[in-house]
Amino acid sequence: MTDHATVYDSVQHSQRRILRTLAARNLVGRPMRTGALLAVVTILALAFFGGTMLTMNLNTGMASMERRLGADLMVVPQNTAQKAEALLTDGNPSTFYFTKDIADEVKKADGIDQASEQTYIASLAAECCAEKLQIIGYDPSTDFVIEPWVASQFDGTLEDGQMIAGANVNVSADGTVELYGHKWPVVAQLASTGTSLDNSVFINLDTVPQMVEASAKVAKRVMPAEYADKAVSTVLIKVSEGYGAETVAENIKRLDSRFSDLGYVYPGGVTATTKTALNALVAYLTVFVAAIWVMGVIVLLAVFAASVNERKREFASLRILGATRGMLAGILLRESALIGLIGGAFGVGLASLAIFPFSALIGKQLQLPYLQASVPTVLAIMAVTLVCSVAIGVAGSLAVLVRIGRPEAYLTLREGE
Amino acid sequence: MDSSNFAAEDDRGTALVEIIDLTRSFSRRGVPFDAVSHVNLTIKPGEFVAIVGRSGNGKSTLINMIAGLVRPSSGSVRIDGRDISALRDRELSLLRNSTIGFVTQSQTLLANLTVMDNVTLPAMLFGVSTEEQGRSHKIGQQPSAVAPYDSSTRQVAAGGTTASGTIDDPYMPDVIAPIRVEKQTADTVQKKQNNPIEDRARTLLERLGVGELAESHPRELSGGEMKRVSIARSLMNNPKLVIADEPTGDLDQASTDIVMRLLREQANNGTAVLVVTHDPDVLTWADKVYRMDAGALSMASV
Amino acid sequence: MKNRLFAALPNIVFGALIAIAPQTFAHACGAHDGMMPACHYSQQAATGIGVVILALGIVALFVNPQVRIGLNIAAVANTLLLFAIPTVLIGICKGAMMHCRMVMLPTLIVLGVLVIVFAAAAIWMDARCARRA
Repeated sequence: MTDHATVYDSVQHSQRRILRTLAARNLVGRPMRTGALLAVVTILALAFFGGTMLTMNLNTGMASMERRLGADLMVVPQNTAQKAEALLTDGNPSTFYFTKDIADEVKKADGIDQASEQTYIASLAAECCAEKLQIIGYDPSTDFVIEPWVASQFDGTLEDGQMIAGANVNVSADGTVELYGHKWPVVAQLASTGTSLDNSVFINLDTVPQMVEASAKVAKRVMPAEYADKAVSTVLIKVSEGYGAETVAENIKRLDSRFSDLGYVYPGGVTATTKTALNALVAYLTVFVAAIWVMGVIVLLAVFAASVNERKREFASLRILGATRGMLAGILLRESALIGLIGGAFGVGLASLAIFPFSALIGKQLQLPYLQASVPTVLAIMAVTLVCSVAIGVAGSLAVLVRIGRPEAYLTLREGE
Repeated sequence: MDSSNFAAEDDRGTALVEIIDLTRSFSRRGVPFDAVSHVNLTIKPGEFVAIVGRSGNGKSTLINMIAGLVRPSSGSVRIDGRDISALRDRELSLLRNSTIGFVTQSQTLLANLTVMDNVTLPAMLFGVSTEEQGRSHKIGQQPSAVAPYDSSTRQVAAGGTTASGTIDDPYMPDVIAPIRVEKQTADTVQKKQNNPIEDRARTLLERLGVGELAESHPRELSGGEMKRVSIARSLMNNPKLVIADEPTGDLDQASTDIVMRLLREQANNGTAVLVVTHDPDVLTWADKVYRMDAGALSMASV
Repeated sequence: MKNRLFAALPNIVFGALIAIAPQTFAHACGAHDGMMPACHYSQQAATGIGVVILALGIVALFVNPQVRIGLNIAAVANTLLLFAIPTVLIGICKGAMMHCRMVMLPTLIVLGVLVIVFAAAAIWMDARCARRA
């Protein structure tokens, strides 16, 4: 008995080696079966990782967008409400404005806690090989929308002629952006938001006439000179406690009959609409991934179950040679875990090849705020995907495991004779 | 042959296999029947026992129970002094691995391993070092029947001896390890091998005339070759008991002689050999022959 | 035969794609103000490299494993050049939403990664087979 005990102790290195190589060699020895299993697990991991990454990135983008929209109501010129909404989410740069006197009138309405003006100008391409920029002029003295999130990266005051650049804006090495033949100093560049704000530069309202003049010199004048110092694209309004955004809009319309023609944009509503679209997409994704997983699990179970009979003989052989049930389970678990791990790695690799390089394109095509989740999150999702792949591989082999666990599984060997 | 049974019938201490009132019932279409019915059998070290009988008479069930692969309905099997029904899976597996060499009737080589890996597998399952020490100790008292390749295979190829006795065989017995290494370096013809396990496997394979197939896979082998590889595998751990189910089933006359001589040598060197067979040729090599009929075991004359 | 196809086919397919993609769906940006942007030259260079990788793949169909290993090493080196051209050597447009950065560069990177992965696998397989021989 003690003799045997020492033998158990020596169940060390060589045994583990033979079991490990046996599992690997069983996989190599059955290229068709291994290939089929790997393909299934790869597809599962691909769907899981891809779906989760898309969902995460959309949610990150959504959260980022919500943080950026501090106003309850935007008053914009007639027929420009849609352009303004697009500015908030993911649209093309545009220029629209009414005059400052209208803005001042609007601000007098009842129920307004804070109001700030902004001016939007769509630039031509900033320089060769860059896309159009959205120039946003804001009023640092009244602003309550931009400063709060700019503050995390820039805490000085924005002087006349200076700029704050969005994440996607090319700032040249000397810290300037060239626009309309003029080099504008950039005091800060913001982190990515996943919205059109990434393609924006921020200037203070007093810089707007300067910008208009500059545009007149080198290209098409962006707005008539007489408007340059009184153009306002939007009045951003934060309503007072107890007032709804719609109520305040009604109050504004009551001030002057012309005001009923103005555009009223409710960023909260825009967020809600975007959220609805996003949730629908996420729901489709979830159903899609779940359906793939259900089918995948069925295929895995079927493939493993189909291999039971052929493997019973193999396992009976090992039992005859003196392999314990634990060793058989070890071989089988190792095989299925290997399949899960390799398939999972393939799936994650393939999905990564699509998701990471093409992130900008995906964001553009989805027309939804899309912001790459942080590196730790991505790594965590990768790890979860691998764990799930291994788990699904192991689960698939459970049918075989249960059968070899039965005391007289080897009887089948006799029946086969 | 019976005269070679030096031990008295009542000397239970020396019995390697001791089967008492062994019964296994199955039910076929709801009707219970005894595949093996109240069998008593004792096999001593060095004894060569053959069981004959038509298929379906319980021979396979009997040897599967001896190997602990099938649980008896009643009765007991003691191997090397241990009641195998009392053993846990791990102990039973170890017993099967180190004490029993089993040659199955059907092909049970692992398809994904080479012949060499198949043959060395039993030595790998429970680790090497301790087993090896134990074995070299064992070899001291009980020399292995497996001689190095150069002497015995040539002799076999040349026609070899005919009788079951090998006492006058000048090449037997021999010890495996140290001498062999020197011989090989002198020879330099064979591949260099310094792994004692592979050395032993190669010797066994060469002894059985399939040495050149060591690196092949089972699917490249004929039925007879696979059978001989299985026999080599069963002898790998130098078992005290060799159980062979139709060991000569797929073999031609020459191969049958090689296999039976090897088994006979095992017996002569103290290994108990139990063979189940149809082959009347095999019976001439056995010390005792039993007949299995409808689950009952009876003595048969040779 | 299996190794031969494995060492040759990926380079033929991906080489062709690297040559075709920049001229079709993954094209560079158009001319700005009559000036060709940098990505245009990267595009032309990528097509050239794609043709070379394609040629390496075709040659690999007719040679022995040792030579195939060399061809695949060359394919990997070419792919590194392919990566260097739009990023370091020639460059592309800077704007994140420009077509060349949004589509052409990632397409080339994905195809390049695939070339490297398959070439590495083919080198490993051929090396194993060469060692055995």
